[in-house]
Amino acid sequence: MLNSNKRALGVIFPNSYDALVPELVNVRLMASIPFASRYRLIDFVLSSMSNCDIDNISIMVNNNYHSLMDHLGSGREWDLVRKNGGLHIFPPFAEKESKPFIGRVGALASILDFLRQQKEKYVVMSDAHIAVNFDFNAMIDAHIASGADVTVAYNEQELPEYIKKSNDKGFYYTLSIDNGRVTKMYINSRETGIQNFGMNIYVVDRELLIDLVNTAFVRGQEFFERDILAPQLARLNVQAYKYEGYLARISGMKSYFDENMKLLDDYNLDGLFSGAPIYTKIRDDNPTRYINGAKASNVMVADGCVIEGEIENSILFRGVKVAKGAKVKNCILMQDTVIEAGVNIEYLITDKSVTITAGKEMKGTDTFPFYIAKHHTV
Amino acid sequence: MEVPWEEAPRFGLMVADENDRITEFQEKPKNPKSNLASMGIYIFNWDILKKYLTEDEADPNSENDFGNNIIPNLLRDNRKMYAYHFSGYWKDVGTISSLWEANMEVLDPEHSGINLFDDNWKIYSRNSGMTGHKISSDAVVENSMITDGCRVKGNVKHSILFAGVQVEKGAVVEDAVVMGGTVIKSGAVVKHCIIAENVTIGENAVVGAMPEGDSAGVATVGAGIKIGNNAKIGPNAMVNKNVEDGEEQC
Repeated sequence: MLNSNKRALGVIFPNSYDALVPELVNVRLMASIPFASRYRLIDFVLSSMSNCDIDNISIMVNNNYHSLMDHLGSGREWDLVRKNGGLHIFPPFAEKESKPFIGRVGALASILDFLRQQKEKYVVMSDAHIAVNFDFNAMIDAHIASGADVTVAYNEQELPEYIKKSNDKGFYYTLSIDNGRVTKMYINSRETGIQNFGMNIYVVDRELLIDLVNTAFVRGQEFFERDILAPQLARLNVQAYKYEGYLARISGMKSYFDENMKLLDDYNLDGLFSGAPIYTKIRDDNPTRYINGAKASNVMVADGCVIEGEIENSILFRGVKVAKGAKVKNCILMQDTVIEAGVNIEYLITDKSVTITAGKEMKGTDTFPFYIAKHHTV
Repeated sequence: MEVPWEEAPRFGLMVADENDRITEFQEKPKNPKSNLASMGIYIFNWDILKKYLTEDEADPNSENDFGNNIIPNLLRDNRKMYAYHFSGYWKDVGTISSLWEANMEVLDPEHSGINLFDDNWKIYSRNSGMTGHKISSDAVVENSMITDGCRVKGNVKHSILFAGVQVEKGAVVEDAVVMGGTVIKSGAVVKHCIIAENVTIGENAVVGAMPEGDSAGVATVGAGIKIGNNAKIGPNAMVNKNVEDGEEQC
C-alpha cells in the first residue's frame, strides 16, 4: 500500500451535535454549516488533517448529508483524491433490522472490517463542530511520547451558558487531569469557572480501537466517551493534550452568531487562519464589487458579492447582493442572499438563497438573532 | 476588430473587400491603410497551415513571424483568407496605459461593454484560497473591486485590489490597480498607477498623481519593490528598484 508509511488515518463524525443548531441542520448537517464568510465547518478539520499528512479519511455521515457530499465532491480541494486512502464517505448501513447509529460506537462498528484492513498504526477521530486550525502531528507525537492508549485534546475555558442549558441535546465532556493523565471524565458538567473542556478529538491505536469498539458494541453501548473511556480510566492510559490556540466551538444558534462575529476582530481571524491553509470548495466567483453609493464598515465579505447599499458589523458569504438604499447591520448573510432596495435589517441570519424583498424592515436582538431558512423569500 | 486610427500602428492590420476577403495585410505599419486590427485569433485548415509553416521553417530569409511571413505568403499565393468581424469588448493591453484603462473599464461595464459577471460565461482564474476580505470601521470604499484576503482600513476609491492587499489606516488609494500581497502603509497616497505584486509602499509615501493638464502618466511599481517612508514617485515613473525613505523620482 502506498500509504502504509503514514502514521494515522482520520475518522470524522459530521453529524455530532446537530441537535444544538436545529435551524441550521434542517437541510444539512453540522459539518456543512457555512462559517467565516466562505467556509463550511468541516473545512477546518479536513484541511488540518490533510495539512498533517493524514490522507486516509473516513467521514461517518448519518443523515442530511446531501449538502456535505456536494461540498466535498471527490475531495480534490483538500488534495484527498487518491488511489489508496483518500476520502471515504460511509453512509449508514441500511439493513432491514438495523437503525442508523447514534454514537461513535455504532458508527465505528459499521466500519470495523475497513479499519482492520488499514495499515496506519493510529486513528485520529474528530467531530466537526469546532472550527480550529489543528496540528494533528503535534498531538500524535505527544501520544507516542507518552505511551498513552488514548489521547484526548482539550482546551481551558468556561463552559458556555447555552451549552449547559442544552444537556439533553448532546453530551459534552470535561476532564480531571493528574500529571497529564485523565483521571475522571464528567458528562454535561454545570461547573462554573475555567474547565478542561474536551474537544472530542482523539488519537488512539487502531488495533486497540477495534477491540474497544467491538466489545462495547456487543454490549449495546453507544458512546465512545461515556461508555468506553469514562468507566475504564483506571485500566486505560488516557492522556490529555492541551490545545492553546484559537478555536470556535459551535454549540447553538447564539454561539454560531457570536463565533462568526468574533472574526471581525483581526486578532481572532489571524488566530484561526494564520496556521496552515484552510481549503474549501471553490466557486470561481468574481471579486466583490462596491458600486457608487455603497458603504461598508467593519465587515468580512467573500467574493462574488455586489454591494450598493450600506453594510455594517456583518459577515457576507459568497454571492450576496445588497441593493441601493438597503441597510444591513449585525447580520450574517449566507451564500446568494439577496437584499433588495430600501431593506433595513439588524441581527438577522439569512440562510442560503434567501431574498428579502424591497422595503422590508426586520430586527432581531443581540441575544436572539432572527433566522430565515434556506430559499425563503420575505 | 475596428480600432481607433491613432492606435492602428500598434496592430497587424487587414484590408478587406466587400466580401470580407482579405486583400492586404500590414504588420504594425507606420502609415496604416486600414483600421481593421487582427486580434491574433485564427482558424486555419490544418493542411494549409502545416504546408506554410514547413516552408517558412525551411526559408533561411524568413523572420518566422506570422504577421510578416506566413500571412503575406498566403496572400501572395492568392489563398482564400476572410476576416471575421468581432464586435464585443476587446482590448490589447500591451501598453501600461491600456492595461490601466482596461482595469478601470471593468469598474464601468455599462459604458465600456466589458462583462466579467455573466454566470453563464464565467471567467476562471486561480483561486487565492484566502479568507473573505475585511473592510474596517475606519475604511471608506467607493466604486471598487476587492477580492479575498484584502484588509482595508484606509480609503479606496475607483480602484482594483487583488488578493491579499492591505491598505492601512489613513492611506488613500484612487484610480489604482494594486496587485496581490501588496501593503500600502498608513498615510500613503497611491493614485492613477499600477502597483505590482508584493510591493510595500512606506508610510506617508506618495505614488503617482491624478492627471493634470498634459500629464496623464500612469506610474508603475515593479513586483517586490519597497518604497520608503515619505518617498515621492511621480506620475511618469517606472520603479524597478527599491526607493529609500524620503527619496523623490519623477
